[in-house]
Amino acid sequence: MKLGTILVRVPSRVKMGKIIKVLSLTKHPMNTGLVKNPKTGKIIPMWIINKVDIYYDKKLITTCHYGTGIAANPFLAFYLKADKKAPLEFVMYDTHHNIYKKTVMINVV
Amino acid sequence: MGNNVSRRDFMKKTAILGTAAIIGSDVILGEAGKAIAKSKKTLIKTIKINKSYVKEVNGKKVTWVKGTPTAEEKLLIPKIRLPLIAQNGAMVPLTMEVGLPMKPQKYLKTFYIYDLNNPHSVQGWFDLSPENAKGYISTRIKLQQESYVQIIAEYSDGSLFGARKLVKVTVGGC
Repeated sequence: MKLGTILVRVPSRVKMGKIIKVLSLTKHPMNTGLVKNPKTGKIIPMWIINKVDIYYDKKLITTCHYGTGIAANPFLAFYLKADKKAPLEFVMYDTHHNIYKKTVMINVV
Repeated sequence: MGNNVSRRDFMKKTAILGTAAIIGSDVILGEAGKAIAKSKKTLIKTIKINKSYVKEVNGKKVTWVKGTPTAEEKLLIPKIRLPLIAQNGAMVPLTMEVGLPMKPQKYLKTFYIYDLNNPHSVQGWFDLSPENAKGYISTRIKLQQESYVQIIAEYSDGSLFGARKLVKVTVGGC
């Protein structure tokens, strides 16, 4: 899996107005900046995702501010009320000024 | 033979008794249900909290509850789900939950995570909105040693409630 890929799991079909669970997993090292490399003895510099924005129908619904204490390959699960057929967009920002994006469609029947 | 009860009779009687019991319990349940529904209607306005104390965290006044919370208090006080013993400190699953339904009048605004043994004690915070419908977040955190994990829930009207739990870690992962 390439660095920065985001996996998102949502139900393939949703009834109108139902509450669904969204699961997501991101490939990222999340180095705290406190650990030494055992071979070279040098400190591995800090590199973390510090902000995650989640948009549903272009409206900001959830924001996550991560510190250094979040585990590598950050996992996130939350609930969402599906009341329209619209895209769910994940935007992640990290301390090296990279931006990772992923969009999934929520199929409301 | 007169003393013996036939199978058909027995079945009939038990059926009648059983239905009577179910109807009776239904009546009781119905009343309880109405009471719960009433309490849910008034819940947004006031929730009584009996044994509580106020403690400041980062300059904010946070309410804590002594002992095990009652069913009504559980709606406001965050619930933490953590393993008792974490075998791998690099990846400890953490789930936090609040029972209060998210409505535009009052909803859960923010969850804060603290690891009290960590010098950078704030691990992160999560801003939610009424579109989420449930105050629920699940992540994974890093722990170096046995420590308390503390969670603070902030509501849209400004009130704050806290809860904490002890975790033992066999292999640290920071």
